[in-house]
Amino acid sequence: MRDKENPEFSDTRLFKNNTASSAAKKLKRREDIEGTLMAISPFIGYILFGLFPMLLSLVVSFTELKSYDITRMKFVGFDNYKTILTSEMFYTSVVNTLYYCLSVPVNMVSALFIANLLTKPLKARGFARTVLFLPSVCSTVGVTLMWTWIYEANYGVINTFLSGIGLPKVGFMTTKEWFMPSVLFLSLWMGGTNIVLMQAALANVDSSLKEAARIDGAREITVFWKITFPGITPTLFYMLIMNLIGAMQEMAIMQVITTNGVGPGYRAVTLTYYLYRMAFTNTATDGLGMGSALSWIVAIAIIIITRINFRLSKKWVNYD
Amino acid sequence: MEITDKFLPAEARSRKGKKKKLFIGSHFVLLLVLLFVLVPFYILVITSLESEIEANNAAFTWWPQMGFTVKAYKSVLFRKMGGTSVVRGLWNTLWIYLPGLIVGLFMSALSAFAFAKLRFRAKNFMFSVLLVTMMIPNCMSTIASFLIFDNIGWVNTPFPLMVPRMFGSIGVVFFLRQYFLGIPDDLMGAAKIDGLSNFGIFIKIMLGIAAPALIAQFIITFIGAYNDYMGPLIYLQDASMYTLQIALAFFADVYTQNWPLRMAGCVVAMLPLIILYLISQKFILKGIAVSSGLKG
Repeated sequence: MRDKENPEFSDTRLFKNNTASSAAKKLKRREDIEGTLMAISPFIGYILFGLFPMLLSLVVSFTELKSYDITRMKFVGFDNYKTILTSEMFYTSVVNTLYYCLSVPVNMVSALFIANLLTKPLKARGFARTVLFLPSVCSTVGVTLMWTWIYEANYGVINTFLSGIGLPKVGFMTTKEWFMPSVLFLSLWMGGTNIVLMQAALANVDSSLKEAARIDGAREITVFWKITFPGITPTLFYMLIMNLIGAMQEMAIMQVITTNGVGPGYRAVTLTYYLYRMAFTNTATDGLGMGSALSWIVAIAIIIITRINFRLSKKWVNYD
Repeated sequence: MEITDKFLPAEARSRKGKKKKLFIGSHFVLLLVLLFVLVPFYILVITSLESEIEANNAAFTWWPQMGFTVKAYKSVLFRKMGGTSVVRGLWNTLWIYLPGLIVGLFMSALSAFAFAKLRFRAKNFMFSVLLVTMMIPNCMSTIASFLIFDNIGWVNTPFPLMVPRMFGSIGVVFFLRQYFLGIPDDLMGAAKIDGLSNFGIFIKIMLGIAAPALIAQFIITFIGAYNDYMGPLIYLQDASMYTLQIALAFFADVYTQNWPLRMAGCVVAMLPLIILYLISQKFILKGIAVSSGLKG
């Protein structure tokens, strides 16, 4: 408006227009710098507290370090890796970790089942939602202690029940066979997050498609496999990746649940718990070098498994 | 009902019966699931109110035979043990984690805002790098982090639990970016005409609009920090600095056979978060549901 009233002003504008490209360039540069600076904080955090320790641990993994004094590092080449890969304990912990990873498909299937149940017009759905997530806000320490009491060998709930119906008592936490199934059951109890994610995914599935299929006379099971399931595959895939990465690194439960540090017959020693023990419990015998080497073995295994999962995902995950 | 059913064709009648059965069946299954979740909580609370003699010497009963007592709670709340107590632990948890969480939330929001609303050359590259880092397991940094913090004298101080969180977290950036993307660009344009810089827009406008998302992420990260176990276990060695979770584990280690005391400790440690969750469950559940939104 003002431009039209004041010819001098529009002159200056015209003048400016001639140099607009260089001004725009400057502005663009400024935006580049400004944007980068504003976005950069998590990067710096990751470099300082993620990447840098990772690289250091790669260096440490090739050394012998049986104290926290970094100057006492002694280069030993691949010795740590050799020692670990030939030790029996390593394979025990691999088996234990894989055993614990059973929790991933079990928890996912049960979460899908429960979330699907909650799509039905049931009474007390809101209440159910609230209750189902409740274990997820409780700490690993608290939950684990609580279940140790439920599993208790003499007066725990389950054993009281078992002896009540004339069955022998079971040492859930003290026998080799029962330890891991008991831990898996505990982790199933804590699976509320998966249910919430699954519910959100199910809610996003186009309900008009389902209705149309039902009107055409499709059975519920067909509707599920042909319409609902393909719609939630991206979420299933995300959950699979994240849960598996988490399960392969589980150690807090094991650390709390064992009274002797390793569980019955070393059943509690998962890979990450094993490396934790190398570095922090058996510092003088195994040390940080061994622990770091094991941590790299675990990390590489996880990365390979994640990559395989991404490859396989092309066969079953449906992005529309 | 009976009469009208009789007039329906046979097939529809059987379908209706089937539906009713399914309806009852679904409720029954849901009831079982809810019992599976709730019964352990009941056992926890009822045991914490039993006397020590009963819990340790008799078969479990669903209702205390020897009466209720709050003795265990008194011990948990008021007994000091080796320089730590549950109350002290709660206080430590708050002052150690809150600064990192608040500063971190601000930095995450700033970063998310830049990714969502600004144009800069490195944007796509930076964002895809962040995506990849989420999939890189962090187990290999545990030992070396300790080594670094030990050598700069940070072990047995709250800094290892505080400072890394101040840089913001990648998961929160993802969530908030999604939220900022949903805010119309017109708003940015209007604010720019008013002479606000990008940072000014972020502070004066975006933080206000994104408040629900910020609250959700704050609560979710707070739950994570409150329940953090391995971090303080490794870094805090002085009992006077134990966080609540460590104090609880320490208690449980000392009183291995006193079940009412252990359970009372669990109740006291869980209760603050359970209350927080019940108050803010809409925020939390929504926040968790959206965090999976980075699919495709």
